[in-house]
Amino acid sequence: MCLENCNKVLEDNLVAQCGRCGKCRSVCPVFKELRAEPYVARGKVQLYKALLNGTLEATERYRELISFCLLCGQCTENCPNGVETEKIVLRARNKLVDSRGLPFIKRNVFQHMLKNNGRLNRAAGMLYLFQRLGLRSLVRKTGLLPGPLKNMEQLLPAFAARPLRSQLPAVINPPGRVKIKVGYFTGCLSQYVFTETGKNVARILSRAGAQVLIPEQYCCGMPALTAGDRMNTAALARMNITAFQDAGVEVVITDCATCGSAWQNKYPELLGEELPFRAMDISQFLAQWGLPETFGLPQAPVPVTYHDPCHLARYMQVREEPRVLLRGISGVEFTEMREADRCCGASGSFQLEHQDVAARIGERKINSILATGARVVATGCPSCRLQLARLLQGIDADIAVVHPLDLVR
Amino acid sequence: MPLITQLGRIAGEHNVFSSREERFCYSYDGTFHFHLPDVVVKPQNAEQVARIIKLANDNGTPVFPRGAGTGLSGGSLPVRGGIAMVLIDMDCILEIDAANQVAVVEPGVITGQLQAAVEEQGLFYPPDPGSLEVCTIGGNIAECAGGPRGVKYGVTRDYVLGLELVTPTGDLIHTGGKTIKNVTGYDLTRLIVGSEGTLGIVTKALLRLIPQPKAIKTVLAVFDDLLQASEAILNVFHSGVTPATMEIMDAEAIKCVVEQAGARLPVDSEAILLIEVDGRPAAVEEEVTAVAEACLRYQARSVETAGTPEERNRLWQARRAVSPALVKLKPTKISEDATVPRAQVPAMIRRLQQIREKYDLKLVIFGHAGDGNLHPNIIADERDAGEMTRVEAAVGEIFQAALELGGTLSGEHGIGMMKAPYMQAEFGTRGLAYMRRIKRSLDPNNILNPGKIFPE
Repeated sequence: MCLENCNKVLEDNLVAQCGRCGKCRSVCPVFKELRAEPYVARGKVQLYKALLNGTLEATERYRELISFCLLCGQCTENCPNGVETEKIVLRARNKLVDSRGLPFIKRNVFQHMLKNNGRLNRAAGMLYLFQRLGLRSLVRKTGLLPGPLKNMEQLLPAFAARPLRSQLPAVINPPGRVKIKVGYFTGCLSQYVFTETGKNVARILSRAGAQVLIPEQYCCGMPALTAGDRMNTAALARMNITAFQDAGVEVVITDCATCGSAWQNKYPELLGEELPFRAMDISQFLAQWGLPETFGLPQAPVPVTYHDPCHLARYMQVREEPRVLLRGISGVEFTEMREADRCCGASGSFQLEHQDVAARIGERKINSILATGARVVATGCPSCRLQLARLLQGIDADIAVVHPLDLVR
Repeated sequence: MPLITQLGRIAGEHNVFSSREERFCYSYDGTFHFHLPDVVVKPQNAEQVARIIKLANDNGTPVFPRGAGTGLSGGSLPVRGGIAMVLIDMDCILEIDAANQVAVVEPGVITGQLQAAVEEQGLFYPPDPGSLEVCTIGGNIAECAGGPRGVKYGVTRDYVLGLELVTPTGDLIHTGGKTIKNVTGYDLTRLIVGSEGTLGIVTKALLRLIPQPKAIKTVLAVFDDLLQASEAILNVFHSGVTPATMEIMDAEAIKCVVEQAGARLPVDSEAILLIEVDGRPAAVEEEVTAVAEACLRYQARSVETAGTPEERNRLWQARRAVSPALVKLKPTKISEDATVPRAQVPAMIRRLQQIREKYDLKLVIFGHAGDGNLHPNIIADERDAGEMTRVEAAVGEIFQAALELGGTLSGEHGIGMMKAPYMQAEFGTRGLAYMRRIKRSLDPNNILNPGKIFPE
C-alpha cells in the first residue's frame, strides 16, 4: 500500500513539474513533423496527468498519442522546469500495459523470446536463411506478406550467419598482464547483426590490457521497457546483473547506447539499488584507459562525421569521448554536423509503429550528414546505425555508417 | 450537417480534431486553467478563416483563436467550448522588404524565427517575450506582447504598421500599410493590437524593422539596500542612458536561485540589477561606464560588466535560473505583470513585500524594472485549495496596489479571463461600457473569444 502511495506521489510530482510554458515545442522532433499539440512533450505530459486525475480514460486514441514519443530527451534538456517527459511517457505506457496488457506479439517476444537465448538464436538463424536463400526476394516479389508486415520486413536488418558470442571465447586474455576485468555486454545487435563491430570491441579491449569476460547474457530489456513492460525489463536486469556478477567483472562495457543507458540509468532505477560494478560505454572506457596504440585508417584521409545517439548524449552524458576517439584516429578528418545530437527518428519500436514520421525525422538527419560532405558517419548506437544506413541507401548516397571503433584498425 | 463535417469541408478533414484526447490538448495554455473546446480546427489560409467565422456566426458557435498556447492570462482558452482555431499552419514569412525595413508575415510565424530571419539582413525585430522560441506573431499581436527590451524599444504595438484580418462577422479587411506615417481614418491597427482576439483574427501582419544594434554590453550590480537600487535605476535614466534591458531581482528571488540553483550571488544582498546597453560600439562603451557609475554612486556592493557572449551569458545565468528554481519549491507558478510608472518601482516592491507577509505566501519579485513591469510570482500548489484562496486574495491586492500607484493591471500578458474581474477597478463603469460598445458593434453575435477582457 505504501509503495502504491509513494508511487502515486512520485507520479503526481513528475507531472506537476510541467508549467505548460510550451518551450518543448521548439525542440521536439515529433512535433516538428506533426505540428499538433498532442504530439509535443507538453501535450503528452498533460494527457497522462489527465488520465491520473480521471479527466481522460485509457482509450485507444490515448494509447496511440502516448506512443508518439521518441524518448529522445531533447525536451527535458530544453525545459526550464526540467520535466522528465521520458520518465513520464514510460510510466504512461507502463500503466497502459498494466490495464490493457501488451499486444499479442510483443507479449510473447518480451516474455518468452528475450529471456531465452536458444529461441533468439534460432529466430536469428532463420532470418539469416530467409535473407540469404533468396526467400526474401521471392516474398517481396510475390507480395506474400500483407501491407504492414511487408513494411516491417523491409526494416529488418541483415542478420549475421553466426551470432557473435558463438564466435568468441568466454574469456579473452590481454597480451600483457591483466589491468582490469571487463565484462562485455554485446547487446542483441552486435550479437546478431553487427558481429564485426563486436569483434573489434573485444579485440581493442584486450589490447588495452583488459581481460574480456563474455558470460551468457540476455537482452538489455529496453525494447520491453519502452513498450511499457517494466516487469519483464526488471527480470532481464536481474538476470544480466547476476550473470556479470558471477563472472567477477569490475566494469561492464557496452557498445550500444541503448544497452548502455539500460545499465547506467534504468537498472538502478527499476531495481531501486546501485549496480555492484560500474557500467560504461566503450568510448568512455577508452577515454579513461587510452587506446592501446594509435591505429589509423589504411587509406588517404577520409572526412568523418559523428551522430550523437540520444541514449549516449542525453541519457549517459557521453558526448566528448567518441569525438576525442575519432579525432585521435589517423586518417580521420573529423567534421561536425549541424544538430549532431538531434534524434535520427529510429527510437526502437517507434519506427515500426510510425514508419512515416520516423523516416521524416530521419530525413533531417540525413540532410545534416550530406551537408558535411563526410564519407563516413560514425555513431555509437546500432539502432541509429540501421536507420541511417537504410535512409542513406534509399537515396543512393555513398556514405558508410559505422561504430567509431570500426575505424580503429 | 454536423459542425465537424462542415469544418472538415473548409479546412480539410485532417485539420479538424474531435477526439476528446486531442481536444484536451487545446484546453490549456501557460496558466493553470483548463477549458475543453468542442472541436479544434487548423485553417490553412485567410479564406478558410473567413469561412469558418461565417459558419460560426450562422451556428452561433464561439471561436477561440490560438497560436502556440503559451499565453499567461488565459487569452486563448475556449472558456465556452466551441471552436479552438489554431493558426500555426499559416506560418510563412511572405516578405522581408529591406529597403522599407518592413516584414510581411502570416500569424503563425514564430517570433524567434522571424528575428533570426531579419537578422540575416542586418535588421532587428525587438519585441522579446520570454516564450519567443515558440510563441507566434499572431499571439504577440493579440496580447501586445512585450519583454525585457520594452524599456528601450517598446512593445509589439510599436512595430505593427498594418494588418490583414478577418472580422468577427467573417469579412477580410486591411488596416494600415508599409508607411511609417499614416493618419487615414481610424487607427484600426492599434485597435486590433492587444484586443486579445476579440475584434478580429489577424491573417497577415506588416511589421516595422530597425537596424540591428552593432554592440551590446551587460552590467550586473549587487545592492545591499533595495532603495539604493531603485535610486540607481532612476539615476541611469537621468544620466541620459536608455538601457536596452533593466532587470531586477529582490532578496527572495536571490535567495531562491542561490538555494535552489546554486547561483553564485551574495545571499544577504537585497537587490540585483541586470542592465544591458546596446547600439554603436563607441556609444555602448560610454553608456556602460555611465551605468556602472550610477550603480556605484548608490552604494552598489559590486558591479561587473561583460562584453563577450560567454561572459554576458554568465551574468544572465542567475536571472534565467529564477523560473526553474521557483518550481523546485512548489509546482504552481502564478506570474503577474501589474505595471507601475518607473519611479514607483520601489513603492510597488514595498507593497508586494507587505502582501507577501500578510498572506504568508512564497512571493518573489523580479522583472523589468526599467519600464515598471514587475513580475511578482507566487509559488503555490494548485492541489492546495486553502493556499489557492490566499493566492487569489493576494493577486487582488497586487492589482489594487498597482492602480493606486498610477499603474495598470497588465503590462504584457493581457487580461484574458484571469484579470477580467479587475477591469472595473481600472476603467470604471463608463470606460468599460465604451469598450463593450465597440465589441458589440463589431461582433454582434459575440462569436470571437467571448468571456475575455470583460467581467461577466
